[in-house]
Parts: sequence; C-alpha cells; structure tokens
Amino acid sequence: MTDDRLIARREGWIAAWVDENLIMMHAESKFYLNLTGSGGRIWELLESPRSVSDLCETLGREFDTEPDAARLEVLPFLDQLLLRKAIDVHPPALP
Amino acid sequence: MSVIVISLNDNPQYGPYALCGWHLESAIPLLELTPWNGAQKSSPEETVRIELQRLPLYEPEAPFFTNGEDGVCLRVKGVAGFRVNSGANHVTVQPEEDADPLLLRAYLFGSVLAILCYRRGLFPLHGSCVLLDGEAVVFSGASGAGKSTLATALALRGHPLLCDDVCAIDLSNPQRPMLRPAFPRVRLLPDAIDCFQMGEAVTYSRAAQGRKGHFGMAAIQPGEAIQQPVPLGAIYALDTTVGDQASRSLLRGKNAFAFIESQAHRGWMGRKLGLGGQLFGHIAMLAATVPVYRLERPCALDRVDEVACLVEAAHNAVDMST
Repeated sequence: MTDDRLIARREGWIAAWVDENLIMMHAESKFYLNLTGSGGRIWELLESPRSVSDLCETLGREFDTEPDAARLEVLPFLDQLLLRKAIDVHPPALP
Repeated sequence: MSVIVISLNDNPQYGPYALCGWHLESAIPLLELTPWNGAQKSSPEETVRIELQRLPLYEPEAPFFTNGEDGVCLRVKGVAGFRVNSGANHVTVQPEEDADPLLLRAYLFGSVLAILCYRRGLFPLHGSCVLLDGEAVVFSGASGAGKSTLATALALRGHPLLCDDVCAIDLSNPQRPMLRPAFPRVRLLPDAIDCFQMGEAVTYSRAAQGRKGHFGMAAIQPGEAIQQPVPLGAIYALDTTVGDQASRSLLRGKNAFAFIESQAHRGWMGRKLGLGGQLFGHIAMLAATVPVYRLERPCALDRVDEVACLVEAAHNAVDMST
C-alpha cells in the first residue's frame, strides 16, 4: 500500500464505542470487529476517504509521534481492515 | 406509558394490567401480572391489543418463526400460535386444543414479549431482575445458570422482584438505561421450590414432574408491585463456573459487549425483524454505561443465600476512604 492510495470505509458497517474500544458490526453478516488502541480513532478519521499519508500525518499530530512511526502501525492495521472487507483502497485521486 | 390490550374477540376483557409500562387488557386472565395502578395516563398510540382467535394463524407445517406482511407469527407446537402485528400494538393468540394455560402465558411473557420489545424500540435482556437499593439489578445467563433462583433468594430477603425471563430495557436516554418492570413472579424448577419452601405460592405447569416442561411459577411480592421504570444499576453474568467462594469481577469492553450480545432474548428474532442495527446500538450503549460483573459462586442450592448476601452487600455498602 503506497502513501498516495485513498482509503475509504466500506458500506454496511456500524460502530459504537464501548469503554476505550470501538466495536464494529457488519450489519448483514453479523461479523464483529473490536478496534483497540488507536484503531477506533483511525476508523473515525476514515469518515471521509483519506490518503495513507494524510492519515499518518493526522495521527502523528494527535498522538504526538512522527508520521513515519505512525505509518509503521497504520499500514498493518489497514491491511487487517482490508482483509476483513471493512475498507476499500483506491488509486490516487487525479490532480 | 403505553397500552396493550389482549382481547378474545367479543369475549369478556380482563385487566387492565401493567406490563413493562404498557397498559394491557386481555381476553385471557393473565394471573402473573399486576393490575394497572393508573399512576400514568395511557395514550391510544401506545395501545396494544391481544386477542384470541380460532382461525389458523399459520400453515400446519409452518416453522417456529415467520415474518410476513401481516406481522410476525410464532408457532409453538402443542401450545399456541401467536401473531404480533407490524405496529406491535396487536397480539393475536390461537391456543391449541387443551393447551396448558401456564405454558401459553410463559411464551406470551417470553418470546412474544421479546418481539414487542424489539418492535417498540426496547432491548429485551434474558434474565431475572430485582430492585436493590433503588436500582434494577439483572442476573443474566444461559438457561440453567441460576438466574431465577438467585433473584428469588434476593426477593425473599425483601428486594422486590421486577421481572423474570425477559427484562425490558429502555435506552431512549443512552446515558441512563431504565428497566421497565414486568411482574413479581418467577419461574422455578421443583428443586429450587423445595429449597425455598414456597408451597402454596406456586402454580405448576401440567407436564408431570421429571418431564420436560415441568416448572412452577412462584409469586413473590414483598411489597406493592413496582410499575414505574427503574434505573438499571448492574448486570451480573452468571455461568456455571463453580467457585468455592462467591466473588464478582468487572467485565469490560468487548467482554461486556459479547456477554450482553449472547443474552439478547432471542436476538436472532430481532435481526430477522430487520432490527440488527438497533440491537447492536442497544448492546453497545448498555456495555458502555452499565457495569457488567461476572459472578463466580458456589452453585449448590443450599448456598444460594450466601451468594445473595454478597450481591446485597455490594449494592448496599457505603463507600469510604481514608
């Protein structure tokens, strides 16, 4: 996954905060995800599609860390969301 | 407050009764319910009618649950057919010949009540509930986990019983879930009835002792029945894990969520009604606002009072710090 890719939520997921975790359910398949750590915040930030680099920069600011350090955690997390069909990865938007 | 009317076409009406804040009239005598105390006026849009009818509600080979244009049908072999209309303000009952009235009412106050809850935006939690220190405390868990027995032990210690089997929870204020009391009766198996020496306070189902379907419905009402909504204070997760000492531990996050999700009363019906999103939201709100405790305890019936004391102490204790 490259920095310029656009990440967008897939349709059909609903989410709710329980304590510090964001619990998500796919409405049709009744498949659950439990997002811990900064996972819930990433899902919130994906309310509108964002590029990987934008996501890492925002998280870096919010969690007071370098974007490169954020990227190390964000990319495997996005891979997991992709694997579980919670997000789509799109080619970069045309300038 | 809402109104439910149960009627048998032109037959005499019984009631009005109170059930989960609804005003209920019926063609069938509903012995478990308490009379409507008239504390609040009911409005027509919150009225639910329950009627008896002789016409078949379903095809002979219909499954237990069907959801059609004219409502949801439940078919309980040997007992009755039930239909809840799509507005959840009209329940039709078609008893089978020689059906056990107590068993019929158990389905009415179980699965049918759960459908009414789902359709009326309430969350039906599987469990038994008592009032402790001004708050509703629910004991939840799989069948046989000891929910009704523990609730009975507490009721006999003077804490009013609020509901058994279906606990209707109102989450219209997400920060303050409220329990809507059903009735002060509890369904028990014969060994628990013997243990509590309840004798005449019990009505038994027709199934012979030792056979499936044999149970007693026990009336326990230490004071006046409570009909007004009560703040929900705690949910206890009961399993069959045996501990030598009674103790409780807090479940958090996904563990609290997963437990409540597993105890949504016939949650699959809620999803088949197309209310999966509502169900999910209610479970998450409950997990986020109400403490869920796992209760480890000795399961022997003769030690249930010890467990009841622990729960009582946990809710009545005055917090102190140095």
